Amino acid sequence: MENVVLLGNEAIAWGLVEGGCEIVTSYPGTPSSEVLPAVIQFRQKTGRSIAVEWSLNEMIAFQVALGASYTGKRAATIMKQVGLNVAADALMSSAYTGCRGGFVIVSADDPGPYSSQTEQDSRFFAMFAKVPVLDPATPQEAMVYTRRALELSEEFEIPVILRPALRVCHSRQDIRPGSDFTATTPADFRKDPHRWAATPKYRYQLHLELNRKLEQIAIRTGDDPGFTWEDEGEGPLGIIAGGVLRGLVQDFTRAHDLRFPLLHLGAPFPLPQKQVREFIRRYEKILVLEETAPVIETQISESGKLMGRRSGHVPSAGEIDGRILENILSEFVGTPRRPSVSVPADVLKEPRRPSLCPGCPHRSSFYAIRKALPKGIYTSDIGCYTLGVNLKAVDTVLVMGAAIGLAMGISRSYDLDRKSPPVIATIGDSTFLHSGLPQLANAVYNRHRIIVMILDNSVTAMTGMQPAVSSGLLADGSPGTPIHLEDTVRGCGATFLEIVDPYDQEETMASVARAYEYTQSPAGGVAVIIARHPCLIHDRPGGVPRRIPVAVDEERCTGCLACVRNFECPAIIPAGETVHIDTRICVQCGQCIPVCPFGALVAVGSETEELP
Amino acid sequence: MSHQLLITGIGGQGVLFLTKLLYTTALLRQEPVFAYEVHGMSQRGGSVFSSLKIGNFASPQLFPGDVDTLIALESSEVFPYLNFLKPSATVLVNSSTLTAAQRSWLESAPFAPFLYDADRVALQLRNPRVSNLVLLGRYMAERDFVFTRDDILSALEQLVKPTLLEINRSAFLAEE
Ligand code: SF4
Ligand code: SF4
Repeated sequence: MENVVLLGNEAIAWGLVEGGCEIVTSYPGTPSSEVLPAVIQFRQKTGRSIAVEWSLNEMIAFQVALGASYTGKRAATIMKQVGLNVAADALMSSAYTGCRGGFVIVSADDPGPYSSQTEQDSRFFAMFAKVPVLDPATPQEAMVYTRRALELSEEFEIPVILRPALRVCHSRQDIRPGSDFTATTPADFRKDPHRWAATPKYRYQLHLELNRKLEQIAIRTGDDPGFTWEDEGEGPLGIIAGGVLRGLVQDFTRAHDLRFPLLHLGAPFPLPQKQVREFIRRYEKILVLEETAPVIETQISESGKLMGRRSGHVPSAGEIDGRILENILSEFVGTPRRPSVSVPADVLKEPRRPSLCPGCPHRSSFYAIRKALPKGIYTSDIGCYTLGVNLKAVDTVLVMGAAIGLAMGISRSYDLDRKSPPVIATIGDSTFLHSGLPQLANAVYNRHRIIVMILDNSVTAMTGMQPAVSSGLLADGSPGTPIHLEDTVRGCGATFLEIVDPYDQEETMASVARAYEYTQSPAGGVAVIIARHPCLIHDRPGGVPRRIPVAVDEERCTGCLACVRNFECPAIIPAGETVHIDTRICVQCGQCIPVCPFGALVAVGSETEELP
Repeated sequence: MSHQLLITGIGGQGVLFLTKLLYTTALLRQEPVFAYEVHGMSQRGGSVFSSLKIGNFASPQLFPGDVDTLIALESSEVFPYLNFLKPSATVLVNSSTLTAAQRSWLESAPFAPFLYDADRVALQLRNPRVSNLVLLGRYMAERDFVFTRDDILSALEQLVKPTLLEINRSAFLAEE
């Protein structure tokens, strides 16, 4: 094949397709979301038969893929690092039972973090679960390692984690995809209760076997120059590096004409002890560079010469970018720090903070909630709507589904003190199906007096527009069976359910008020509102059914900025004594009109033709 | 060849398309290339950037002080990235929203700024979205770039649907 420029996540997808994966499951989450769509694209291109699905959560995705592996087929499951927390129960146990067909878990890390709740290290998780982990440095390597992960997994009958970091997932590189496709395997589940249904007694045996596998794998990856190799150089400082930091160090040394001996570790757990020990022996000082936890470091017993996170030479939080690497290394080589350019304050504008899109229906929902229940406590969840924090309508964000869980704990605490502030949980439609359902059932059963507003924009917008379950469309666009949110809500036993269009702000406020009343009535409990309006990025015509161009009446505008503070549409720009509408991004939704206390935001003229 | 670029702007301005155009050009020229893009929340109107490293590199990430060319599709998106620039860097700025203070600071800055109101020209072409190509095209008409205009045009032909090729070509080749 010819060289192509592939995104890291596409390179992983190619590795899965080429490596003969027959089942690929995923739950979207940045930075992993592009892998499954790329698998679908390559499936089409190569004509290979591969079953794909967006599962409802990572635990399910994990189990579906593992089940496929039990039958002997090669399988993969893809998620972001915090998704692995959701799948953790299955991961821990599957290390013991092992698998049959090659089974790779792609768990994408987010050092920084840029779009995650934590910057946890999937390699650490691998170590905890006792499964091998591969840590590619570039998209090219990610493609090769994906395939190698499938092979390693199949040979040792053990799940293998591929840990690409953000800088691999979202980088592009010119690479030459291989075309040496692995043959498919017929499904053949061989019953073996001592393994697949092992009782604690057999679990002990499986643990012993797992330990033996890991010993062999460390020898295998240590001897394999694709995973463990050295760039020669001159001491006294030797560097051991994993993942993306290997590339970063190479670019640094090249640019500065330095030659550090560098030991590349592409398979950090189980650590290839022989090669690492031999490397450490040769140099006076050893710097360990890895993200984000000291996984390599903690596996090294001779710690006297080691410099890294545990010794404080490497920062213990945050991504190691070029600037930080330069700082770390300048202690050893005295690289001159570059003078920094300073820009006067009147020139430098604050970079625009992320905010909900112009016309986003979530903005209208949040605005209505705050208007109707200004003294409320607003728990929220993971998704675009987390940005409601800018509108002061999001007080908590913890993990998927926690909007409802935390709301229950908060409202019950006030109950104990005979107080009843409104507690409103906002949760997106796909987050609700991911982990909100049992939460809602719990709220019904235990009669928690909270409001749950499901923000239903009919798409998983934050991670790149995966179809909503309610659409009944599957990952590849083929028809599945739609699940309607209102059925699930009623199925959980909730009796107060209202469906509103947040673009109708008056009605949404009235609904929120009724919901609160219901939560406080003697027979009341959890009240559910579905706020339904399509995401505008996904469905512009459906999202703005009637265009209402808005202008600022400069006579009336006092420059109070209430609109900017309370509504925060990015198209409303403060401009000296007044505000102006940035027509390049305004979608003419008209939702801001009621927000101005002075009536200065006014509908003008008729619909215009051109829209951004 | 060794050339590092940063492309900055706000969501919806075509930062990603320009990035794609440049890495496709690199591929056609058989130059090794790394690019890095900001994905994630699909909000419009927030700051976005991408970077390219063309030549023999091992990592997509940039070091401060190494960037040869900064292309800012929104004028305010120049300033947060200045520490990445080489002293000899070139800075292309779509100047439509540049303030007077910003302009005078840039004009006395240590690197060579190229200020051009690409939004105005794009609007004349009745397509506000092509200001990215207008900016690059005007710059390349006047000064040297890592690629030639023909390189860019062949990449454009590969990337753009035939029906949209003409508007993109005329944006890139727009004259004053
Ligand atoms: S438009 Fe209204 S809310 Fe916005 S600044 Fe002017 S007066 Fe205040
Ligand atoms: S009409 Fe108002 S709320 Fe809607 S996009 Fe334009 S400025 Fe924003």
